[in-house]
Amino acid sequence: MRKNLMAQVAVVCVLIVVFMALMAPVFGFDKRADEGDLELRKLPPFWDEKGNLKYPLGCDAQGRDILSRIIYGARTSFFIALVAVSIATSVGMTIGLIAGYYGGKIDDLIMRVVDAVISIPGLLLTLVAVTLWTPGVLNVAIFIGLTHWVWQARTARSKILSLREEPFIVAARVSGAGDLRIIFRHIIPNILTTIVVVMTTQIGYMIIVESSLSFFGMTGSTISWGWDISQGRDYLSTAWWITSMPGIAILITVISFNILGDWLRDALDPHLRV
Amino acid sequence: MKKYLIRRLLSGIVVLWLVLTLVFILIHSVPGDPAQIIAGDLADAKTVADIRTKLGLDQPLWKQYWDLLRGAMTGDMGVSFSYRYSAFRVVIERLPATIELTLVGAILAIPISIALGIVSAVKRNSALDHIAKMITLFGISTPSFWLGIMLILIFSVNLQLFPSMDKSPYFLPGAIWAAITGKPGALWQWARHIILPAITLGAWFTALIARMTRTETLENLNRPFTLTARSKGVSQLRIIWDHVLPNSLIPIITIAGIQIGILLGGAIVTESVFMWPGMGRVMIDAIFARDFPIIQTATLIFAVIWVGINLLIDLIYVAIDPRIKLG
Repeated sequence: MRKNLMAQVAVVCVLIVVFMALMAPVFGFDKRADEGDLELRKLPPFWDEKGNLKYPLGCDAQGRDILSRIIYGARTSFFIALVAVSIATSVGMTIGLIAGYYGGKIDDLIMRVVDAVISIPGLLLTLVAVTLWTPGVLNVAIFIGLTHWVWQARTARSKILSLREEPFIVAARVSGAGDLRIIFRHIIPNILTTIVVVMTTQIGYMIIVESSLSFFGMTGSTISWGWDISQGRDYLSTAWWITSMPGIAILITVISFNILGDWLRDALDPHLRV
Repeated sequence: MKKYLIRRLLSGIVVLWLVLTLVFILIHSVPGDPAQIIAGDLADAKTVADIRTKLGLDQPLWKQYWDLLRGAMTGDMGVSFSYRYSAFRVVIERLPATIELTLVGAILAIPISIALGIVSAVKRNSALDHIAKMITLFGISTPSFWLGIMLILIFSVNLQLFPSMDKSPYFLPGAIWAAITGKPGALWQWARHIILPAITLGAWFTALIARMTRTETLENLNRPFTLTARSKGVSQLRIIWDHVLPNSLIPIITIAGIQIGILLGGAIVTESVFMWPGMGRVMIDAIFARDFPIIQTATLIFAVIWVGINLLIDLIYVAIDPRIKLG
């Protein structure tokens, strides 16, 4: 890590965004994000002649401070991304473990289900699910998780297929260890690093999925990066910053997670270069 | 070969059946009454009852399930609420626009990404490699709806080069024909409408394939056959073209095929940003209007495309790699 400048910058960015998300209410950003001032409608960013340093990234069409909205909006994105990744990982790992460990007909059946799930665009499945159930941040997070576990499942399965024949697993079996013991004591510890790499990169992807859903107004949250982007669309020709700024926030966050994921992969698990 | 094809077709049908079952379970596992959800909270009892009959929601579950499967085989997926005619026709009518957009997106993406990946691998750790890596990093990290809006901001609002919405009335063959038969502007009109949506749709795909190409090429550059070729005095260009590229293509194509689903999902977002009159936009409208027959049909068509493309890819394998024998 010491040699990798990009990874260092990425860690700093992730820490800043996490800090923003956690501390927003403490510094009063939740109130600033909601309070509009009609005088400040479409106020440009500070580098513009008409800009004001008190509102460094400008204000939106209702005169609300864009920076505060980005800081407060980080909460929605992070909450959804973290819950979704946790669910995706639990589901995906369980399914991948079962398929890889037992093999044969069970594996065939599970892999067909996996095919069925990837053959429907994940975003579409989530959209359908979210419309049917009451939209809400937690529901959205659960649905994103339930529709995006294929990556973990495939990774876990392929890892187990090669682990299964390793001498230490065979030895454990010969010495009378049961399936559950082998899975929990010998297999899971050996696939954990790989799964951590997948999870890190997936957080970035989940933030994109979340913001796409917010963009369509499907998360029910009116304080999130995706929603603000959709709100600024009508003012593209007069106030480009309303739409651009939250997008840049997404871009920086997702890039950071991707760099971090790449770095973790190279450091922990060089075999996984896909 | 014949045996293999039959087996693959059968497993494709199993996937489609699973997709339908999944959607069925999704719709029927909703807490409360789907008819009420469709009608909205303010609807009176009669409207709700009407919708229930119309959708067949008053039938026993097994009957509804059977109707869905039978409908999928005959193309009778019910009548769309918003369009008031066959949901299957609504979706099929918009299919060409989506296919055209996806194809143009993919055709832009594939050569660029493979070139980017190869250059990046051959000139590993050079400035060129770092630039290529940055490009692909941005590509996989930019949400496509935002990329679309930024392209509109730059090319439509500021430079006023390309339109920000809608499709030209022509498809490519039609545009070429119109250009030949005396309407020279038709081709340009076609191109300027499709360029921004195609870039938006293809960006993520380009980045993904470029990254994979780089990894695969790096691996194959260190294989014994490359060393053999090099020691025989084969030129670098020939090594890459004749030895490295063919060996890298198989995993690249596999991943590309699996990710087609994401490309199609991207079409939903792209089409609604650019008001592209395709399947994705119909789908979004249907989701907002809770038009179930359309949602079911579009989902099924998306899955059919995915299964078809992946079958095609298996056949391409045989063409590009003589080591693979199907059976």
